[in-house]
Amino acid sequence: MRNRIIAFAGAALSLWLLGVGLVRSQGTQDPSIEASFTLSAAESEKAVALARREMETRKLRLKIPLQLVAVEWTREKPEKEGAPEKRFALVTYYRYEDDAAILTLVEPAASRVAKVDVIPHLPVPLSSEEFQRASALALKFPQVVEALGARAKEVKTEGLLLRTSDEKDQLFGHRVVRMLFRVGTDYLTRPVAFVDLTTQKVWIEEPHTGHEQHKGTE
Amino acid sequence: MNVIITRARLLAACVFALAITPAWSQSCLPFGPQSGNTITQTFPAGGSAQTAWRVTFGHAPAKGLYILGAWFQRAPNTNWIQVLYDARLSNIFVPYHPGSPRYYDLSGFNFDLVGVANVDLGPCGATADRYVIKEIRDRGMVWKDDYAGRRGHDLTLWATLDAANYNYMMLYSFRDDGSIGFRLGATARNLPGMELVPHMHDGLWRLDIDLNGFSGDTVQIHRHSETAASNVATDAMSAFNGGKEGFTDWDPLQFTELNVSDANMRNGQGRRVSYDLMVVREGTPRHLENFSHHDFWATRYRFGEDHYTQLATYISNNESVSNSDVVLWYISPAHHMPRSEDGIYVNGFWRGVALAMWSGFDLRPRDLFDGTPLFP
Repeated sequence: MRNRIIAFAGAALSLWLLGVGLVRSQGTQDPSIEASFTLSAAESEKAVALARREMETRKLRLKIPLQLVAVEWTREKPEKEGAPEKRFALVTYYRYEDDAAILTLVEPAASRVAKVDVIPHLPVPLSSEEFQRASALALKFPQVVEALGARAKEVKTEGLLLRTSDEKDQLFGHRVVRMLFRVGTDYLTRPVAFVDLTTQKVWIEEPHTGHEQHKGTE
Repeated sequence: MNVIITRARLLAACVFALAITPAWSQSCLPFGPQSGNTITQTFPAGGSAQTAWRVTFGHAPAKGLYILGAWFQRAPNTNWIQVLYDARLSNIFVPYHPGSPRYYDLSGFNFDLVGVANVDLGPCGATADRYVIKEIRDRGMVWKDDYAGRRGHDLTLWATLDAANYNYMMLYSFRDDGSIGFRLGATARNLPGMELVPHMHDGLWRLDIDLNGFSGDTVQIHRHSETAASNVATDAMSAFNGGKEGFTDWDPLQFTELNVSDANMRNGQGRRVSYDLMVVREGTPRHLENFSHHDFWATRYRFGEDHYTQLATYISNNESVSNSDVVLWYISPAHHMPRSEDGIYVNGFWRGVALAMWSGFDLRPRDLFDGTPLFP
């Protein structure tokens, strides 16, 4: 009898714990949720092909090859309230020659290019390919190698794209990546390394103390 | 012997159950239904519905978490009223005081969101998808009248952007009174090699407000006027930039607010339904970049006009922002002066994180209800 009571109590407790667990896990990790606001591989591929063809037609490709930096889902408001929205792809290319972004809005389902904008000096993402190039250039630069020393084998690189709006700045209009060197979760304070992808140059600077920007009594 | 072991197991299970019960069972408010990326939440959560939000979210690399539509219900069985078509951070601008570097932390790389971690969920949170946390929060007292009062609830959606050394928490709170909170929290590791250099984190927000649908929306400015030479104060609402696209500045002495009203929707008192944009800020940033020369901008909706840095171009054709389809733009600054609490140098590394600094704004309904909401 005792065993039956214990077994019943155990079963009841299990059910209760299961119930609480269901409350806890009523959220979802279902990746299919993202389908409505993400392009499929086929849509992306088609959008890029249409954008490339349009850029050729409009003679937007200059001497230096363009860099594809992003293909993303977007939407246009329908003409009438409540009408279904059309899925668009925004294809972004970066043109090194004049630091310009070429933005092409493509409707993949209709195989249609809706709009092309060429915007000088627009901050657009660094592509993975560009980051890999910057990382490789930095990691073989002698002063970076020297500064990293034995840690070179364990560092992971990250990059931040530098921008300047000052036309007098020598880096204005250049694609410049500030390299970060991480070991585990911590970042090395030096070297402070930069890679100019426009000129393929690498340099390092001394860490900045920040004291002159924060004046006051001690 | 078996009985003893079973009893011991049962006891251990009971202790475990009791230990966790107060944290995430008894005090947690229940979620409404979620269908794909749309969440419907009635308020009070777990009680008899009085108001409700229906919210659709999205996210992407170099974009973070954004809102793809928000509709509010003033009372059960009434029409859903559209408030937002789209709301997001257009970018995050981070200029350092020496003049360089200047980063755009949203578009500077294809920075993606961080997957939901257990610590994000806290006692009552749940995953809206693999990157987005949803919470029903008790937001404290929304009104008091001697011994009477009401605690408010909200549906908060948030996610974390991993911008290399920095993290940004993007947070949208849909409150039971029809208001919405928009917040950007800057945190994580100070810039390596410049850990002690002051800088700014400017949230560059784009708000496509479609009150009661796309058309018929008008932007106005609300200004308070009072001087130390008089005991009389006045308030005035005027057309934004004469009804055309443009910009204006926040003046703390004027309690500047933008207001978006709909031409075709009135409350039971015959007043136009509108929303106020109310700032939450500690100061006003002005940088070399021309988009930062003003705090508020208003444009007419045009497909593809998504870039905060291009605002001067967008307003150049002087389109109407009166009885039109309008988009508001707002800069929310967080001024970061590094302190010991941000971290410390240890053997060539920076150890520590900057605690979260929040900036943002609220959208508050005006004349949406016929009387005090959430009141007996």
